[in-house]
Amino acid sequence: MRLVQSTVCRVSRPLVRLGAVDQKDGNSLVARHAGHCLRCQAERAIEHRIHRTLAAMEGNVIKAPAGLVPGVISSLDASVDYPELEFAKAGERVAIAAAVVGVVSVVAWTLTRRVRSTA
Amino acid sequence: MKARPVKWDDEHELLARSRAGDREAFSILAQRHQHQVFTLATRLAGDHDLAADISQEALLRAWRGIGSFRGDARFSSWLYRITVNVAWTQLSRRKRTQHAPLEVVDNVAATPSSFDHPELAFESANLRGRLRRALLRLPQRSRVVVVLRDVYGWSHAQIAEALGISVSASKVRLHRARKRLRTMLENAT
Ligand SMILES: [Zn+2]
Repeated sequence: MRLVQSTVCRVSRPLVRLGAVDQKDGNSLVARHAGHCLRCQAERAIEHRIHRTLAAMEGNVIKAPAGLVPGVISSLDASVDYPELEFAKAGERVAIAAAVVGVVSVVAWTLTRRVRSTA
Repeated sequence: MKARPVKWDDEHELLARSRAGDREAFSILAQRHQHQVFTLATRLAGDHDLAADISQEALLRAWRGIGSFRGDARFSSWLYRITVNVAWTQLSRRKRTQHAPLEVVDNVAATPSSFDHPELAFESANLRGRLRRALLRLPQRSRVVVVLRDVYGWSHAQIAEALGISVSASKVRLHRARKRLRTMLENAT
């Protein structure tokens, strides 16, 4: 976890600002200062503890209500709901069929007109 | 020829069947991941009822979109992204600034005020309960960023993509939220 300005002592605040500009020099100065500053060390310890405690929360699983999945599945059953891919495929088939019907009817209509005009 | 038996413990097979529209297979997948989805939703929303709504919507969207899941990421990661997306939309829609009921997630007993004893605020035994309470007091959109970054370890790029914000906005939000958390921990009563 990177130190933020509020979590270091007054002495090291300008160093942190420098770190924002020149990470390599700034961070090494902060590290050197913090090596013998008890305030900074205490701050770091607190920050690390907060960070560790937050990260440990991921492992604490909260049980979902018993009705969650049955509710989802019953709402799938209630609707004619298919995964999008299947739905898209069905949609494509309908579109192709409609296009074929359209082309055939245009050709038929043109042929009929030609036959009539030549007759 | 005998039909191949269904391997209900094989996630790839469950995914393939779900993609083909097999609701039973999807139901097993959903059961397997429901607690993780609900946990994430609860941490993001800070409220059990809202978390249940978010989880339900996320699982429904997962069903509808399962055809687009290619399997290059883990199914759980894909499901998490959907959950975050649903939560972010629902929280933005509500835009409530009210605090979530604290006892919902936090069963830790009341601790002595740290106002008189600042060192108490950061004792391990106290810290978890205090952090949970402080998280619930954060504005919802700040909480989402802290939860994703500090609890779930997402990168700023992942957060930015999932929430539709810039990477720098994610960083700024996190920085402010951490400062706020820290102040809350110090002044917690
Ligand atoms: Zn210092």
